Amino acid sequence: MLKTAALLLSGVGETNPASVEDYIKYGGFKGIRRAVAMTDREILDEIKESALLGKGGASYPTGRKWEQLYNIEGDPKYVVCNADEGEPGTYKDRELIKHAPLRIIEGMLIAGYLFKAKRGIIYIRGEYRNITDIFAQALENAQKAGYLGKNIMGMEGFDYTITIVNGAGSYVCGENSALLNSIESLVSRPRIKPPHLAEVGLYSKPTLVNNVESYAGVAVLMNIGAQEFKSYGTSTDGGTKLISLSTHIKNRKTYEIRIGTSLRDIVFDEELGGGIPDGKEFKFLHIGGQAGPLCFPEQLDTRYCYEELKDAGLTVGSGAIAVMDETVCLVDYVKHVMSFFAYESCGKCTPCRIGTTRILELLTKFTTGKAVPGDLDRLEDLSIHVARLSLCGLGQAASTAMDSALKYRRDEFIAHTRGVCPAGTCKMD
Amino acid sequence: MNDSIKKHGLTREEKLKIIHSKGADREHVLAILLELQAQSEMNYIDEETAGLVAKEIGISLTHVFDIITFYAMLEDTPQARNLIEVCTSAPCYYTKSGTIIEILERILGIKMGESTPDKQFKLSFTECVGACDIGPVIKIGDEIHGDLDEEKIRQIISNLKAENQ
Amino acid sequence: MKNVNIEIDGIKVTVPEETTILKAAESIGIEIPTLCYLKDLTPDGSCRMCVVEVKGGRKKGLFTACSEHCAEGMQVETRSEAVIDSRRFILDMLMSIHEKRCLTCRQNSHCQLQELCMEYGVEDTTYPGDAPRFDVDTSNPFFDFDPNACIMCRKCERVCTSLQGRKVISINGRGIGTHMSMVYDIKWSESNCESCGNCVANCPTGALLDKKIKGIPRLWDVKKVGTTCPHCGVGCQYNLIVKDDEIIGTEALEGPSNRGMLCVKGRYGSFEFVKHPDRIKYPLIKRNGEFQRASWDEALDLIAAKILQHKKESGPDAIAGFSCSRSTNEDNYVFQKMMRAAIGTNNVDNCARLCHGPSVVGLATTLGSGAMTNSIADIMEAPEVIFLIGSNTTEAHPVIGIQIRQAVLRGAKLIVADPRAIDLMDYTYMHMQIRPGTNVAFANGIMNVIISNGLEDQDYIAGRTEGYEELKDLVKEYTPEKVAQICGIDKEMLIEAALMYAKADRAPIIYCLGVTEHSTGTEGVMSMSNMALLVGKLGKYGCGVNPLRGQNNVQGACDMGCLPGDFPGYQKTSNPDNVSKFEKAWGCTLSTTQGLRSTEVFPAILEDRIKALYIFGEDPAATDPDSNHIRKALEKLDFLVVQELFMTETAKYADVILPGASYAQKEGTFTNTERRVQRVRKAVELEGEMRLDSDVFCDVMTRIGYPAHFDSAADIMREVASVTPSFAGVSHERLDGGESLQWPCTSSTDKGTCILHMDEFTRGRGLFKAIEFKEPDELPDAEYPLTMITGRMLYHYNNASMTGRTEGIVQISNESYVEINAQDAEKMNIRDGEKVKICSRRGEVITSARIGNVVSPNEVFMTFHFADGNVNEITNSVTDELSGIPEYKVCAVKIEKA
Ligand SMILES: Cc1cc2nc3c(=O)[nH]c(=O)nc-3n(C[C@H](O)[C@H](O)[C@H](O)COP(=O)(O)O)c2cc1C
Ligand code: SF4
Ligand code: FES
Repeated sequence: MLKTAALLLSGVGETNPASVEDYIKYGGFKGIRRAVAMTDREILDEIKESALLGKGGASYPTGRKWEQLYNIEGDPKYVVCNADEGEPGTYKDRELIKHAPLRIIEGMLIAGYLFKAKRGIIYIRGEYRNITDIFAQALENAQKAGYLGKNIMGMEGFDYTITIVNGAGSYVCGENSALLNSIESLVSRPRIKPPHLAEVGLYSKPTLVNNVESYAGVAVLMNIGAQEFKSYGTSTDGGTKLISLSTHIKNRKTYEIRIGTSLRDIVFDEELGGGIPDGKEFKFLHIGGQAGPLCFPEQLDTRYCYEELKDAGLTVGSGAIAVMDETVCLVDYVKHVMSFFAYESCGKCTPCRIGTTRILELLTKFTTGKAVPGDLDRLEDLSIHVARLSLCGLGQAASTAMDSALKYRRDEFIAHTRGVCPAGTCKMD
Repeated sequence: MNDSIKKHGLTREEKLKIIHSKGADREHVLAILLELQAQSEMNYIDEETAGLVAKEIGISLTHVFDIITFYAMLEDTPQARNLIEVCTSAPCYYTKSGTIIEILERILGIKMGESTPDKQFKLSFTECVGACDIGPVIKIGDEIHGDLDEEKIRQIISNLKAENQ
Repeated sequence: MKNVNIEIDGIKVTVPEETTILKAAESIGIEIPTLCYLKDLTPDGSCRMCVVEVKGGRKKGLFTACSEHCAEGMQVETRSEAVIDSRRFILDMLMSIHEKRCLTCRQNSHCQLQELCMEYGVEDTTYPGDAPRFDVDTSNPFFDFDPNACIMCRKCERVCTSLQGRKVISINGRGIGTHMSMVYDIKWSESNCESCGNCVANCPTGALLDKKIKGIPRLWDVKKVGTTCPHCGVGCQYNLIVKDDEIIGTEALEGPSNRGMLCVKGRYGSFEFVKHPDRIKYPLIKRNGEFQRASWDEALDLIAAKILQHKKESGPDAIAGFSCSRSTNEDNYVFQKMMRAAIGTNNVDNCARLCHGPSVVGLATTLGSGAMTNSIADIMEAPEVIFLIGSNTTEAHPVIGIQIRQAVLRGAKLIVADPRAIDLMDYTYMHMQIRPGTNVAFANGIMNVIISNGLEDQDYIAGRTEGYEELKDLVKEYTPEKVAQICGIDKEMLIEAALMYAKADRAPIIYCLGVTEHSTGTEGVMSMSNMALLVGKLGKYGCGVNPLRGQNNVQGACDMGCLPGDFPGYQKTSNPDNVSKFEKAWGCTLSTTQGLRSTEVFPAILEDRIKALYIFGEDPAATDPDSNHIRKALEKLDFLVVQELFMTETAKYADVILPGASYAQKEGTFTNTERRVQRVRKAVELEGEMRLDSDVFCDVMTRIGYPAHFDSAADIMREVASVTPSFAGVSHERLDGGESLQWPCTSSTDKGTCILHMDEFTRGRGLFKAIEFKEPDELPDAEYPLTMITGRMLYHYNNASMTGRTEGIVQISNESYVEINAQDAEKMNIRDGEKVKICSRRGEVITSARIGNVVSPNEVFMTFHFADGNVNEITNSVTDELSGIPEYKVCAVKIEKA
């Protein structure tokens, strides 16, 4: 069975990414042309039928999200593309921005058409300032070719533009309400919900927020048809998925895999990850970004698709797969993850603002040989409360990795309370 | 768009030009501040510049200050002519960003978080910059350098020194 | 909206959809603890203290009650085990960053965090760890800021940003290091904080804390007295906090005009003067040029004797009285009754003459009623356009200014026509920096544009107005080109403003002294009503013509008949029916001679027509134009009585000084700018030999042969109601019962009037007045090349006799200054802060220069609050014929280095 495909990344390497002509050679703008020939209902049905799940982290069905927004009254509606890509270990949206910007634009254009939006906004993380130009160029070319601006494709009243907005270094900005705040020039702290963004979004108007890869997916599925698109994946998770491999793995790269490929293949197949370098042993992988759980060897046969990962306590998340070899201490690793969340906590809500630092401090006791047995309970207590009481996904998911480590490898923590670091990397004096 | 050659401080007119070239509106406040900072001598936004941005885009100075102190890429105090940021997120950290830090500290003779006495370089941390395929990485301005070893780092630093001349 | 049924702690309740759980719980008396919740703003949901459990809900069933909406069939538990455990955790976390020194903290015993910790049994954190630590900032004169006690509920910042519209406080950083600071970490006193204290009032811990509370660790043995602020005409409601007969602070109330907010004057500048050692505590009689302490009997006997003497020698009209528009309605009523019934003259006036006389006269002429036509709440709720003319609202009427900023934040467009780049500049959609004194031309220009675009409301004009044709003919001449040139503004702006105003559904005109204090002030006011009549924006929600009255009770002083031509309630003295009605009510014969206006009294003194003057709480020597000429008149008087709180410039000329009672020492009512009669209540006892002002007037009356007595202020109001149709339904009992009444209120069942002229104008038809533009009296020339404007500033009130006795305010602002345009300053080689001499044809003052772009080139601005460099040494005393107001706003001056 084939493990990879080139739908989202079709033409990459063979085309000038910003060139409309090149893009059209690879089926570009066929999606929007099909869309304008359909009724709104047909477009929505097509997307729903494709079983495309959102690629920003929560895997929410894109068709359902679009339908909900469609049913909400309000004018104007905004189309926002989340290109904040802040999850460590994730660099797949980067590949799309760099190599297939017009596919993102087409996806956003289809949304613009369906929702009669006048404006689309793509929020690109500040760290990608050096590739923002490529996207800007693609926008300009699309406009010149009549795919953006006034009377798009010669259709009277089909006016739509896309603006690039830059981030400036904030992980929580990727949370969709924080993202909208940031676009509005407010500091990107998440909003309390309700109201939901579909109703009260950007500038308090109904708003669609999707990930880069989701928009590109819409462009592809509208081009090749829902049925074919879906056939690349499973019946509930259609199409392909971009995954970013990193850390202790031979091929550190973004791959477009067919959904349903097993984790083991992803890590060890020569066509994909290619296994662990330097003859080291595989220890665990961190799936879905820092907010995702850890996956241990016994879970490697899980297939990479929404349902099966979920059943195994895993998640697609952002598409990041960070592979760790035997030299990595699990406690040190989760401490590291926690320091990321403590640093990125926006500081708005009490449990996350203070709690993530308290967890980090407690984990530091473990990695420095100062932990006592009771600290394990305290750790769990903190984790439960921070996850339950935090306002947004950041605090809610901050201890996901730690929780899975505690669940499957509690021994390694207990060893630390006895002054032993099994991996031998913590200085336990 | 962003030329990396730094001047010794921008004039008011130059700042205004940057602000307007980036749209001079609220949605672009971050792009404006990033560009102003990139072209500032010491990689930060001083009060006067922040005030100018506030005025031009129609928000309060305090609001601009909120923004500068919140986003990791923006600074409200002088840094150095070259800010070298080492990625320490897990994928980089476990591909030995620690070693990179040691090398940088040794070459520049300063510790993380410090600046060289001539204010040419400052070392600091960053979280993931989305270049985990080439980790460990460092970020200098908008440039990202990956797959680093000592020789590569020496080369980068001597290039920067030459540029600063 | 649909209703939903839910159950909270087993109690069933039905609420409208989208009601939050918090509000639903509140409605059935279940209290849910909050730390970050602010009722006027959208929920922040950040403290997480208000979690409740929803049976079968997502997220393990825990939701924040402040934000979660009720849904059909929801079962909520507000005190389940999971809820209590969660709240304990939140408190535990907060205690791990909060610096605990409760025993020495001044907030001890009224700290919300402390209270909640006690309630939930959290003594200390179980997770000690790093907490950000910062220096305490004590630089603000009124309060201290201790970031280490801050729990980041961020209420202060949200109040400052979204309610006060200032955004002084920064939320600095992120993560556990998130903290409040000033911009670029400057000191609080160096920021643009205007010390309104609304942040302090909302702080749940001791992070922001009034300095006054220092040394008073327990706040439970205090008394709170609900009253009305004695400063501007907004009429904010607050509690005075009293301990051992000393006022130690204020606490904002949800008044209809202030909705929980106060400005710096109200919060901090409204009580220190009450017990200030400078207060006059007993009567003084001038003997051989020296004031000597006297008994009340001596003083009152002398006053009675002098009044009787002059009355006998020269007739009652040789005596005049100025009443106090800072004092209560009740005092004002008795004062004018004393002048009219006991002395027998209509020579009674109040300082409205110097501010809104033209509004009273002008609007009475065109509409029939000289007051704000609409209410603050209705014009601030959802205006589309706010047309602000000649008003520096955020400084002169700060709490209305706040509401303008809030309205703009909610989407209203603010159009300003004002010679200065006033403080609201950041909030304006459009600012037309018109040349001082050109309001009439400006309004004519606006109307020209409206008519030439066919935007006049023809049905309204035909159905409800008169005089339109004449107006139409006249404004035809005022083309945008011509008006732009007269006013020195951009033509396109004028056109856009006119179109915006005409097209908006809800667009109030709000104006202030920039319109009235001119030799053409009354015409300026009539021009305002012309504009509104033209587009049918009178008698309509969210519109109207709205003069912002200056002093706290200047509306009331006028309402009570302290005007030469009006009995209480604007019943004209020229109408014989009114005279006989009052003769019957008061049991005396009344004069039918037209009284003198206050500005006419001074020339009359110099002409020997006025011999004796009774001044109640006014300071014309400081506040009237051309002080020199006022001083001469005061000197010349045969007999001057001044009843005052402090030794003022004017009091120095008195023959008898009587101690006055301050607003915090008496009962009564003030009427605010929107015609709302509000209670003033006694908070502390009178000191020394002070007496109630109305009692003093009664004694004077009695001694000159008109026995008078009132049992109480409520008793006085009963008499007011009995003789004044528009006040017939007003009584202390109703107000104390919680009603809020705006006159006209014609019966005990009448709820009062929010919007005037709804179905019919008070005078019947609305009257258009075609008015030609006239230049101000004194224009700049070669010798005096600059136009000077005068006005108010935020921190002080009037002659600063009250605000100037508040230490903190004096620390912030204590000196007069003159604003000069940077271009002019450069030409004259004047540096910022430098001393300069300003001269007019009438005098000169020395003050310091403030250089900037607030005023246009060739214009300068001074405030009138300060005894040093008192601007009224140089202002022009020429008055508006129709209303007698002096032209404070324009005179020609020159500036030299001092
Ligand atoms: C803390 C946090 C960070 C997030 N960061 C990103 C991100 O960088 N990129 C992204 O697409 N979605 C991110 N998300 C998810 C978004 O909130 C949102 O679910 C997503 O953009 C929806 O797009 P989709 O439906 O196409 O997946 C983040 C969520 C949270 C809670
Ligand atoms: S959970 Fe964390 S990131 Fe999210 S709102 Fe709370 S403090 Fe901010
Ligand atoms: S972890 Fe360093 S670039 Fe992603």
